[in-house]
Amino acid sequence: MRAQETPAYSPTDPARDTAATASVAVGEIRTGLLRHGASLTTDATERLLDLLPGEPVLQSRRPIDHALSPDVANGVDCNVLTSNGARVHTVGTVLTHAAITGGRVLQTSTYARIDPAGSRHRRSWAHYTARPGRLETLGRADADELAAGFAALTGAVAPGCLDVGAVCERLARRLQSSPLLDGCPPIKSQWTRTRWTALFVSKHDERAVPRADFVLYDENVRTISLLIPYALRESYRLGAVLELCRDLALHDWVLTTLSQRIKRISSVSGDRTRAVGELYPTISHLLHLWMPGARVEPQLARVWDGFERQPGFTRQWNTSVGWIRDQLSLHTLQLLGGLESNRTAG
Amino acid sequence: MIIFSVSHKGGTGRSVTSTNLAYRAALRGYNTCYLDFDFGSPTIGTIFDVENTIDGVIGNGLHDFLGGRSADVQRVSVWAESKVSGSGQPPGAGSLTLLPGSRGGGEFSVDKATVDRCTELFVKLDEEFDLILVDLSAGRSFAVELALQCTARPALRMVPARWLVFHRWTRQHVRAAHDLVYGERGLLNSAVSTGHDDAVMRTLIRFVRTAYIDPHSPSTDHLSPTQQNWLFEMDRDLEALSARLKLGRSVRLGSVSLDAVLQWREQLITDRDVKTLGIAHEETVRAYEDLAQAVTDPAVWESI
Ligand SMILES: Nc1ncnc2c1ncn2[C@@H]1O[C@H](COP(=O)(O)OP(=O)(O)OP(=O)(O)O)[C@@H](O)[C@H]1O
Ligand SMILES: [Mg+2]
Repeated sequence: MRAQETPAYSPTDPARDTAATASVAVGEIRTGLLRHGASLTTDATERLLDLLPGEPVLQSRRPIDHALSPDVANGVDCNVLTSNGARVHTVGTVLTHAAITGGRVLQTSTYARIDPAGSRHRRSWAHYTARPGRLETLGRADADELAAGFAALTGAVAPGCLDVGAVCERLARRLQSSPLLDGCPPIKSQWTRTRWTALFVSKHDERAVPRADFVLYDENVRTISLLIPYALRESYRLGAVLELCRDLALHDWVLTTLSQRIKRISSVSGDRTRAVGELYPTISHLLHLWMPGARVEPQLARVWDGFERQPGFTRQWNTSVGWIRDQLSLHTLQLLGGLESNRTAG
Repeated sequence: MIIFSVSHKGGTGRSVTSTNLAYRAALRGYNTCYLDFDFGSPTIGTIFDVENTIDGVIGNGLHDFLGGRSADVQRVSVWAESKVSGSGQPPGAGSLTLLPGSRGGGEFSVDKATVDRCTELFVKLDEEFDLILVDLSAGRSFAVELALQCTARPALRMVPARWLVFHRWTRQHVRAAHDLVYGERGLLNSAVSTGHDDAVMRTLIRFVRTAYIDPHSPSTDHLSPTQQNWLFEMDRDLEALSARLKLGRSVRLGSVSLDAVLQWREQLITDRDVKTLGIAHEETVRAYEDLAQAVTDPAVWESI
């Protein structure tokens, strides 16, 4: 599955000067179901996401309950692999936060902006900690190659290399074991990993159209690659990009989970009690989470529109929801039919 | 639900029986995973017939994960990678995933960090799977200790746990199984010292008899009347001994008869082995199906 706003762009000219403003932001989002039987209350959400005492948890209720934790910084001193296999030494901090949507879905997200201009020497930690969420390369690197190298890394991360996924996972595990959660999620489901890159091209770069790729790499791993032309740098601030990627990851998770549920319900469809038992939590806990683009800034809505054309998120969603509803009607009819024949028999 | 498989000593049929149980549970539609905690001798790669995991895996096997040397733990999909399923996930089946041990793993210590990691792993697997089968090593081991410590943690308090004790049908094996559970350094005492409630723990333990020869079955028809009588007597005596040692019928989850195929080879018994090839007994498959049914049937676990 692949979506893009515009067709491919021309390959990078290695001679061009990217040093002025080109940079790349990279991150990973892990999305899964909160280990809790009911929708988590606003109060419990607030306490769960209170990662930095004194920093607020941002909550909004419309169009759907949404809460965002403050960012926590982690210092890193590691290598980043480029698309041509080189290891670039980077130092700085990555930021991590968690979000809860609909009191149900937990996302942990770790990201950093990499400044490839580079410094000749490693600087004091004070220099790096004063720039939360920034990684600096030691020596100059190429932003395109950094972005492509990060996106290509969908498997295990080599030791000593930047592992934003591991940071997400640690936070996710910590939150899922919290005593604030009752430990009884309504359905079994898998986590997804969404790795994303946003390449902010420099002033001198001729690429003028934004581009967004969404690739389903395997059952649980997805990649999003965004290319942001210089002229659009204002509307594609990092915060907006993060929100877009989280929203995509969220809806992709809901869709993935729904299709896994459908597979499961079809496999037990001969056993009516079991099928209805599987249908019920699907309907009451998953369906209301679908609200594509609701949390995305208007300027970025066109990226969502692109994904609607191809791979066609909402089209796929409507088909799945239709299937679920049909199943339910079918089972209701059978149930009524059963009652009816009982009555005539008795 | 987490199901722990234990036995008093090696070679009781613990691994072969639990893998076949997992296989049957997956075929019934449960999303199932199987963890090789038998750190002494990783064997599940062989039984599931998955290449490259025969003696455990390198780098990100369970030992590496529990020892903190790997952030992730390798997963192997049986439907995708084992030769037992010719064409992927059978219709109506749930997933069947292996978490192999590390090659050359060996035992390790049970410190707080290890218990933390192991608990997190169980929590994560519970989010995803209906059944988590854990093949613990034989005897009292670090693996058993680790399992007890993890399940005593608050994060796992709502996840049902079951303990299956495998034994063969001889006096020595019955006594040894008794010791493993009720002995001074047995499972119950260890459970209590790790914070479990004795009465609750007792309701979570069931016994599974392996490689059993049923004196009533046609397989004994070729024996002389004297031999048959002797078998009946032995069986009755053992049944009396088991009842006295608190592993009798009321706490027996099931029995698997002796099957020549398993005597020759550690493997999953597929329907093809029974129906097409005719090498394994239908009875064996039924025993594994019954175990898979019983382990997930709440009524079985309600009372003793
Ligand atoms: N029902 C059965 N009939 C005949 N042989 C069996 C049966 N079940 C298991 N076996 C055989 O018994 C032997 C020991 O079984 P298995 O390897 O499962 O034991 P184990 O308890 O896991 O041993 P270890 O502690 O060494 O891992 C194997 O050769 C196996 O094939
Ligand atoms: Mg074994």
